[in-house]
Amino acid sequence: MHELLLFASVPTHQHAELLQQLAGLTAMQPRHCFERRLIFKAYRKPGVANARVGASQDLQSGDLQRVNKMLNGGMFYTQVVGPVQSTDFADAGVTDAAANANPNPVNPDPDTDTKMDGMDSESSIPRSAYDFDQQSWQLEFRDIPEAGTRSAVTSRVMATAALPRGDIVPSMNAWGYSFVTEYLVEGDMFIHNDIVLNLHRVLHYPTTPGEENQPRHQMPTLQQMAPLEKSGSYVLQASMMVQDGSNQETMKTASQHLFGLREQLKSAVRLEMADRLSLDTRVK
Amino acid sequence: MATLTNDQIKVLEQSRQRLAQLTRSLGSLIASLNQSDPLPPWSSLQSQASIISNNLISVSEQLSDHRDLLSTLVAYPGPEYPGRTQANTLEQLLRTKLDPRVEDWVERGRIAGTEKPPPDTFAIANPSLAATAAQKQLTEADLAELWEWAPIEANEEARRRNWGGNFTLEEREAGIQNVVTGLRKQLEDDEEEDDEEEEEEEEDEGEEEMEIVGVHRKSGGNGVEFDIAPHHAHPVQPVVPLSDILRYMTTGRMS
Amino acid sequence: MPVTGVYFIPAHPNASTALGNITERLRSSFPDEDLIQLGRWTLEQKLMRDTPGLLPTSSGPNQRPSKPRYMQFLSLSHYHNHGFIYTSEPTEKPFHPHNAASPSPAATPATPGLQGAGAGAGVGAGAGAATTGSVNDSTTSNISPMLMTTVPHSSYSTLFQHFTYACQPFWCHRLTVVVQNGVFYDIGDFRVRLGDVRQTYPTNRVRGAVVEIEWRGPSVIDSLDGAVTSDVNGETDSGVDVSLSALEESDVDAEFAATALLIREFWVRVGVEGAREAILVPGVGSEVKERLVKIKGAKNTGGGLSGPTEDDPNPQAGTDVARQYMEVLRFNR
Repeated sequence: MHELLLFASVPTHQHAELLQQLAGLTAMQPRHCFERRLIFKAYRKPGVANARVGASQDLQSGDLQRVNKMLNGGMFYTQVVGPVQSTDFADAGVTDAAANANPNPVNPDPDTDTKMDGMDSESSIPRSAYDFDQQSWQLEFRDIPEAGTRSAVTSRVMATAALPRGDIVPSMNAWGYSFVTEYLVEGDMFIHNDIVLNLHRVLHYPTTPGEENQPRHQMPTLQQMAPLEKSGSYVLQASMMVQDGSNQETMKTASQHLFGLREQLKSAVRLEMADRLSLDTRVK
Repeated sequence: MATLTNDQIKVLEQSRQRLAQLTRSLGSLIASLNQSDPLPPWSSLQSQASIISNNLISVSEQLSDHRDLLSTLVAYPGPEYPGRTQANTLEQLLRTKLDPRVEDWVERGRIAGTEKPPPDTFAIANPSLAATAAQKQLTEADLAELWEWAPIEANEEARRRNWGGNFTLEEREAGIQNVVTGLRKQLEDDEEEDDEEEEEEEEDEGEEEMEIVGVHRKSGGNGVEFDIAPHHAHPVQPVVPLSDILRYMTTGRMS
Repeated sequence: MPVTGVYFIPAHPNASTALGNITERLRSSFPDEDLIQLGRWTLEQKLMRDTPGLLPTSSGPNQRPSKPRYMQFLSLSHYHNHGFIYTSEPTEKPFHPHNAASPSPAATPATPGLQGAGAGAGVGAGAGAATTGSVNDSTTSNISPMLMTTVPHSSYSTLFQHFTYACQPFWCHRLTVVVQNGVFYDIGDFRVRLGDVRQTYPTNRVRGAVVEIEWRGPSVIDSLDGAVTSDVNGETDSGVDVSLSALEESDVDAEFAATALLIREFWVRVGVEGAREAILVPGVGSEVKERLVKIKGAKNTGGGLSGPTEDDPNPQAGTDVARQYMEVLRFNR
């Protein structure tokens, strides 16, 4: 599978307006989503990569070359993504109405900036009905975007696979991945023909000692989450999936659809291809 | 009872052909509306409509030119008519009254043709109908003038309003809780804030808000251009560049 | 989850397998039974090995010979809702200081047993729905303990492709074997599945014949399944039989051992020589014990039961027989 993408940075003051514009364009209500994103990194047993080639035992010499080539192959970051509901956040039962009514924990007015640094968040994390054992997950692998494509669109190999519910870390560890960190993505999703539009941003969890080395089992309140981008800006991502990336014809059609969308949104946002290295998933 | 002359048969044949043409063009319009997805372009609909209109005119002329003949003709089956196999057609031919449905159409057509609608009510509902009703159509020049005038006038009208908030004054007076926005997100009514800051802001606001929708002549000379770029009282530019956000989302690190 | 045993009878490449002989032996050993073919079944196993382990052992001073690590993908037609992934547990603790650019070579080498026991013991406290640490039984097996994960069937091949595409430095696809035209019979209280095992990657060759013997008679373990189901269906705690909550893990072990004896007796009666047996393999019964703990936990705390997912009524079904298959099909090239 291939994924074609365009991105735009959306300043906070433009967010509400763009939501309305996208609702108009796509003729659908925004679908508000929260996603837990766990970042895993491939690890290799230290040292073995440089093992010297000695006399072969049960390996043919051709095989040996192949194994050596594989040992120097790429290793990647990969994500494990799980959807959560607004009711999964702590205290969600009480503040449910407020959370639904205003999904922005941050007031767009910069005068209230000080609030969102978690100054008024409580020191203890209230508990929610969130059941970590029932959390569903999927593995989302994204390769580094293809280099040197002449079309002005980000294109990369992708794979998505459902994983068992609950604590996924033991399996991921056994498979060769270790947990790095996690964050939450909050935003709205639209579908426009064959294009998926995500207007979202990254939220940080409040730091709790001891929880940094594994995915957290409890969710804090939404108010305790702070945006990575302190001004509260959003990222608009337009993406499209292509089953057969080797088919030049479908890839071309897909990019043209994205360019069509870029034209339609031209007066509101500037959709562009991403800096390739900013989406570099290779472990170095 | 006399047999038909050759001329009279020719007239009947002509009428048949014109009616056949009319049904064919109506049929093709219906088919193109039903089958093509998306709908056919307006230019094709327009040309089909004018074909139908021409067909109607020619049918109508034909019928009125030969009114004397057609109104005196009586149909009866000859001995060689295949009555057993063509019974349906025979029944249609022998009708002395119109089909009730057709009778309704004819009735409606007659009323529409004789009654002259009061132009005022139509003018309100649909100006173009009023124009037709008064048998007066805008000339090309009039239309061009209207198009020239309308955007500027609409823009002037727009400038008279204060475009700052999420709600109109009318909506606010009727109570904003009654407004159906279709959005799940709660729109803020920033009027109250504005009131507080009004004194400081009043001066700028006048100019600022007026500039939101601008219109000016294109430098090329033809037509006008609109400035609809969003304009905000408090622009906050993102501090973190997009590439850093994407890098963090990919690897959990900013650099 | 029924108790099963798996036997594998190896064959020489290009020779015929013992399949015909076994069928014949079944017929003659159980003359009172009608050997009616009830249906067909299929199996596919893809075996991966740790790539560094494929290199000839070097004689560097800091190199200690490491145990081979495996990742086995198994798909069985009689458990079509999910695929099984059986992976050697990591031999060193994965360690990433958040800001470090690369894994630190000084990472503490944790004892492998600890990792496995941790996952296994975490069961009551909240282990994953379908992830269970295996019993650390390295005395009987010369490989490190392995971790069972079941994934929805749609993910099975996607994940395999992912590992072959993005994990080359540590996973290498070694071989694929399949049973394409397996058959099964009911003989008394047993269901017997037979099939030819063929290797399809890297080369085509015959590997042997496989026999799965499933005990379908009365079993405490089956009533455990029932207890969980009724509880999940929203019944009150009374759905859990008092006698079940009196069960201990040792009772489960005893049940497995007793049924294993029955299966062995059956196999002896068939009388085919030269088979490799897999019944009480490491990790067998883990999920059953997990269920037991959860049933008991549900009585006390009123929660923690992992219910069925939308498209898979029981994500753990078949993990025991999957372990047994993967034990006998873990070939070297």
